[in-house]
Amino acid sequence: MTTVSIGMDEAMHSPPVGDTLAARAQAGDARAFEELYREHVGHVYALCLRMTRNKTMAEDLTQEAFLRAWRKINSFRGDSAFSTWMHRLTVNLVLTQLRSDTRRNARVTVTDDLQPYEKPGREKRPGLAADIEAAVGKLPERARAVFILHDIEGYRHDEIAGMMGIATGTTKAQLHRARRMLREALA
Amino acid sequence: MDDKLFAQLNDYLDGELEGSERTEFEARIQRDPELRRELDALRDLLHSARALPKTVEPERDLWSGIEHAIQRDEDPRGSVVRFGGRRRVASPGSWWPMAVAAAAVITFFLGARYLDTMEPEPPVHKITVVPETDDELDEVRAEYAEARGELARLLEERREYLPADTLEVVEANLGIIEDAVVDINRALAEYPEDPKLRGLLREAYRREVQVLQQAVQLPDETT
Repeated sequence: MTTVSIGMDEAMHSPPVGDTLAARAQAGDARAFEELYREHVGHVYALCLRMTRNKTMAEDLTQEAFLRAWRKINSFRGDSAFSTWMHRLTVNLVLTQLRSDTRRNARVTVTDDLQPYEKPGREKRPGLAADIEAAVGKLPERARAVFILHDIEGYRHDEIAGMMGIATGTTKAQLHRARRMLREALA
Repeated sequence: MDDKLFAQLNDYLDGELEGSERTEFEARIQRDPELRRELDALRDLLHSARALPKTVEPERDLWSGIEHAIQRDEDPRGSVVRFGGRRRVASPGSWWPMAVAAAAVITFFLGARYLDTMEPEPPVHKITVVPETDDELDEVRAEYAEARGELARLLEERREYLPADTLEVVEANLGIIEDAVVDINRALAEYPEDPKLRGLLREAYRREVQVLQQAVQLPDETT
């Protein structure tokens, strides 16, 4: 397993399509799709929440992601794990939403699902999860997206560049910017 | 640390330096304690970031909204959605499509007919939070009723001074929004937990208050 795959959770790997929940969902079995939802909602929601920093938007995007997955379920070929397919669909959806201005009015401060939304104090040990989550939440949008996708979720630069519609040089620059800002915030 | 050196440090950490470039950088790390400290700090940061929880469970079960949306979908080939082994046709009588259509009408009509007669948008009303609970929904409704009542009273006081064609546009737009609010509330009666409907209702209220706010600020016909 390469470095870029470190972020992927082994527990979410799904067996091939042929005799699985995905196959049953493809046949129209919504109960099977509900089981897929139960299995993967945590990862989908975590991604949406980190990327948007907005609990309401994250819930909406999570529902939209699964709804799109249901509608596109027949395009899932089984050449990757369902978790991978679902995750990429979610990333594309969130990135599209972030590029849109339609939901910028409703901002609810995220305080419940992640650690308290507070500026990390210099007296805290660097590297604590709470400090990192809060600091990541304060990053500029693009830098935050690249950091989450690369350093937390494990995507490669070429994959991130493709999803965001930018050059790999730009994704690297954004990643470096994010890391530098986090270093300064957590120092 | 300058940007170039920081970029090189990151490339080294990410395994993207090769050959002689990598060897030279490793030698530099050995010679430079500050660079070594920065490398260690970055490594700690990335290690901690990768250890962050990959899953976060939403506070409420989102499945019901998804299930409702799936039930509303229609398969053009005529097949049906199966729940628990029973075949159930996607519900045709739901208020949801009307609520969504109502919201689309608000957006389109207000954009097409309103903007060329009105001043730039005033500051957004305080109804900005999407209600998540029944209490919050009641609170939004109460806030809306209060704001609407006050603004409607002000508009009534100014009615005789406003240009007739402008007033006609204002009242037509208010009618569209009020119809949409009715449809959305009917849909909410059927799907009270649906977050999209709550968001649509909030948006409809916000739009109505916005129209009223702009209308009461219009200049008199004589000015």
